[in-house]
Amino acid sequence: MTSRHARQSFLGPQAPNTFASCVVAIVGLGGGGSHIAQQLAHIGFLNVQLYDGDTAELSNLNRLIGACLDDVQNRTKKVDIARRMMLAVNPDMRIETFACNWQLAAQSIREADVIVSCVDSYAARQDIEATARRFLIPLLDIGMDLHLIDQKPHMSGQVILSLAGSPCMKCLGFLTEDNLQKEAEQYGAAGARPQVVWANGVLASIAVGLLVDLFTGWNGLRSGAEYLHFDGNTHQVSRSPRIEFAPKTCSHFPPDEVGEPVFH
Amino acid sequence: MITLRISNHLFEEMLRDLRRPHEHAGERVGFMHCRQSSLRYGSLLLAHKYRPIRDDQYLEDASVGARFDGSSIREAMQTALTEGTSVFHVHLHEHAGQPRFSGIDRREMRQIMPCFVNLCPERVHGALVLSADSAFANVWGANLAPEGQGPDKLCLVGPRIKLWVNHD
Repeated sequence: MTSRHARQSFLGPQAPNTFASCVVAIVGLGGGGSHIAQQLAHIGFLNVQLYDGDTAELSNLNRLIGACLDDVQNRTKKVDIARRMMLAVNPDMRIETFACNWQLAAQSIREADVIVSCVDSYAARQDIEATARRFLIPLLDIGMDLHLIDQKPHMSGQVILSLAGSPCMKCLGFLTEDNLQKEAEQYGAAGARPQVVWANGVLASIAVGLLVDLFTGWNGLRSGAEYLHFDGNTHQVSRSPRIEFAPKTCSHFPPDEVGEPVFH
Repeated sequence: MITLRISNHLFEEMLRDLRRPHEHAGERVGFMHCRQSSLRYGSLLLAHKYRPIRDDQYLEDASVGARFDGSSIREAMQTALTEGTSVFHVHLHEHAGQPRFSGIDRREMRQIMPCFVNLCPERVHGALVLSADSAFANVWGANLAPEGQGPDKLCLVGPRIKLWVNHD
């Protein structure tokens, strides 16, 4: 245990080796993903893949950790901003950047031991979860949204852990045909979704906590999938009741449907 | 680079079967089947199915923990052919911590594994030994060491991810 990580020695003597050996992929390096990237660097994760095809824009600066005005003017790729930030914390990190849709680097993302999904649509989540399940990769999904209820803004968010054999985002009622359909109908007309740095930070921090627990088991509390709900108005996080009522086994991703789909 | 991933559910299923007592065999054995996918620099083996050896396929032989007849191997080979899978011979060392292959394990594997490699040389096959909370594997393939070699990464995927990386 180096002095750099002395304050987190409670994670166990194997934790530094585990963090040095595993590969974590972050899909989406915007408001949520940039927080995740920063925290992974501080914790001591050494092998990280970053997937995002976007460049920094002025409207990102309210939440994009590590970004500055120069990045907007230079149209710096979000993956390069995250990479710069992480290497500033730990120059020993091995960071692979993919400034494209993750689907265009399909063989690379299979190498990940965990995928953290920080995307902003239901359809994108559905695609990532399908791949994560087929390649037996645990998936952590975070996201926030803002709705008007009685003309008042209500901020909410979620952190979901999807594991092979456990309930998926459809089992948990988070991905439904209805919300996928509505999203498809509004495609291109919805405008920019509200995003704020503090809610992204809460959700990202919880996801990183789950990630560290996955690799170290330091608190020994969890036993499977997780679905945590964030109420951005009351600043409270609670376990979604859907986790209790979800089917114990997933019918959407049967255990034998792994790897590339093939026809024999 | 060869990576082997096994879900916690399948790991538990294998443990449950391998712990069942047998009338005369000292231990149980089974076959784990994997789908093989490509990585940028190697292969990814995704375990998806376990096939126990039936009670009647064990032979009486006090010199080893378990001896089984040819039909069990033929069935595993048939599954490899018809379903396009990699095959791993699986058994259990009932203790906690990292298991290792015994001398008898290694001798037996040297006899069995070429059958699978010759049958499906385009895929990687292997042997897996489980303990109560860990696992250890060797893999064989057309372009791998004839005596077998460790996978570069073995990962048990569940609420607690367990990862073994070969740094050689």
